[in-house]
Amino acid sequence: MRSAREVAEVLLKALEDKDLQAGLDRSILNSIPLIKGTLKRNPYIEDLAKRVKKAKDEVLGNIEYYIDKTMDNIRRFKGVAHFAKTREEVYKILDEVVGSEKMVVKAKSMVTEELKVREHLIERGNEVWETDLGELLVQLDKSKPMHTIVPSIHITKERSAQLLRGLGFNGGVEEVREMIEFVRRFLRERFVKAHVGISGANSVDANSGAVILVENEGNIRHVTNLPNIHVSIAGVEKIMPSYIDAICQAMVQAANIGTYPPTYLSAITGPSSTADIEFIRLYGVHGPKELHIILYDGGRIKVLKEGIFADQLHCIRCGRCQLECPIWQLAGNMWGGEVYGGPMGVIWTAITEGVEKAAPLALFCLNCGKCKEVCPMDIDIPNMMSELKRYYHDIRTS
Amino acid sequence: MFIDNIRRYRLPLPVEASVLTSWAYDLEIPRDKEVVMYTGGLYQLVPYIQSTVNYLEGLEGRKGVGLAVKIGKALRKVIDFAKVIAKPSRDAVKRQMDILKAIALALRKINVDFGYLYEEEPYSGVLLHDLGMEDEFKKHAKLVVDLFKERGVKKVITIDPHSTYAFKHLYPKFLGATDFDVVNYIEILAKSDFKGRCEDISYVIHDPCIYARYENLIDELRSIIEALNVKYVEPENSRELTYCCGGPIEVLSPRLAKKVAERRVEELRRYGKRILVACPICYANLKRAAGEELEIYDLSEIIARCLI
Ligand code: SF4
Repeated sequence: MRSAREVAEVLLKALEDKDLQAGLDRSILNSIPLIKGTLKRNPYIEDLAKRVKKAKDEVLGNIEYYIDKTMDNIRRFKGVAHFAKTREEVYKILDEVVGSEKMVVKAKSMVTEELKVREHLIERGNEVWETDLGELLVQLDKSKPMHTIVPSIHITKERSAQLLRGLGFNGGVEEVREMIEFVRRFLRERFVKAHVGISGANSVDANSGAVILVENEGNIRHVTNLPNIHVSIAGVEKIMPSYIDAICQAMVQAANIGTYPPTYLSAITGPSSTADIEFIRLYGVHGPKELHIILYDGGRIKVLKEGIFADQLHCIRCGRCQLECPIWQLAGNMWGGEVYGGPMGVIWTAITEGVEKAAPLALFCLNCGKCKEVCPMDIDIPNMMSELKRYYHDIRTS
Repeated sequence: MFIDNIRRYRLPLPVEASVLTSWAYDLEIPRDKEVVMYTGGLYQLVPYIQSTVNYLEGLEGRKGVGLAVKIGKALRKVIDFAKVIAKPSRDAVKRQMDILKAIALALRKINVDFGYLYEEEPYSGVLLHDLGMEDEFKKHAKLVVDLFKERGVKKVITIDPHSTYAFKHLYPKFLGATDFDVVNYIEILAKSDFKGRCEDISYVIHDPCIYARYENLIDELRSIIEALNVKYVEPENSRELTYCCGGPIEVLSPRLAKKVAERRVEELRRYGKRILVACPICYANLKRAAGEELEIYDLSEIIARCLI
């Protein structure tokens, strides 16, 4: 287990990182007023959030039932349902479905970060491209996402230009528009050639297996539509009891990011199909021929049973707690584990990487309660932080 | 180090008893009462905390120093402590004493009958809890509860957020229901009908996180200020959305704590030069970040000035 001092050193180093600091300042300055404005203009979001929380209580309280139900209904709508307990099981499924020497396009998703899907597929000899602009920059930068929604806040436009040069971009550092144009053209070729598209899921409806995805760039539409095979990976906590609840979750998340309504809201139930010729239903028309949905446990079910960190599974990954946390505002996801950072991230680190990883991080929680105050799911993060602090101490003294 | 001090001296820092109690002698507050005003030593320690944290910040900058070990050794005894840590200025010490007196006088003014335990007053132990040392905290809390019982204390009037939170929430959580009632002086004042008159100046409110988000003492604070006829401004991060002063991590990383405070100061100064706080820890941290740039006042200082 790392010591408090080692964590302090990382955090103090983050303070010296000028690009990170500038990026954090920009994202705080831009996002918070945007989110507050959105919530004020759409007061019904608060009611929806309550509804979502209740729906999640229902699912999390009966998780096995809902996993089974979701699997059955995915199959009913001609999708392929998978359940993976561990990372290795996910890899095994991916090896079967994707294989090697394929072109893979990816949508941004935290759970695929957690699983290191991109790294695994590359290792298997595939060509893999992140298609969210920010995530592509992170891929090229070989760093880690600094924010759940805007992963590349630590990458300046100068650095972006430099990274894109590696792909053939030759415009100036001020030409952000040109950079986007370049990426658009660059990825367009890959979208068309790609064999497999991989996405996460904002939520999954247990009644139909529908996968809900929210975005603004439009890349997810390509990822989930152009390749022959679409694989969606979702943590089991993303299951919602009904289609409308699943959509509500996506709406609440989008509003708490400040881009509301989101440019694109996709709900995908089964592979693309037609019955236009003599009512014979055939699959794979313009969209994918195969839709695979992997429901991933990764320790979550155990967490639900043990109770201590169960509250965190209500998380809809809006990143609001990060933006508003004084420590995250100073250190970004440097205050975090390998994937998740900030208030929610310390607890998610406990869930996905173990309490030993998370406990020393938790010491730096101010216990100021702001994360809980702004969280649309009213998750009691400070309380879980206290548990981690206690754990740190128990280990140190024993 | 702090932990060790709590074990030995029942306080996070080793200071002499007179530092803690002198304010009350001046007011001749009685000892044996069922209702006591509880300071937890926090206000009295502010100047010493400031010196200590400055000292720690100096150490933190240096590479290769085993911070905890080194200061642990250095600050273990009253004598060593006095040697290493710069003695706070008389003004700084007096200011904190005046704050305590102001609170006591305000309570007297509205006819609250109360005593004070003087050197017997125990520390609440809240720092132990904040650092994750729950077993130690529980043990400490038990001692406190026993002491209150032995001294016949039925009701505790708290004057700072941290002790309030400890007594109201943590003690029941760890020890079950306690035999004494806990009430914060802001609650008492807000319910009374005292009046005040003040110069025509306005203050920017900095709500303490604990009052705002854990104790829901938001409107009470404002009703006191209004009763005093004092004007105030609400910053963007106000009420439930208030912003932390950084204090809770000042012993872990003074530099990081100061950065948090600087962010808050950056916001507050956009609204005005005079800041109103209601917590000794907030006072110490914001002061450390703001220097002379802002004037920071404790609620009680304003009460003292305006009460008629
Ligand atoms: S913990 Fe709450 S605020 Fe933070 S990302 Fe999850 S849902 Fe959003």
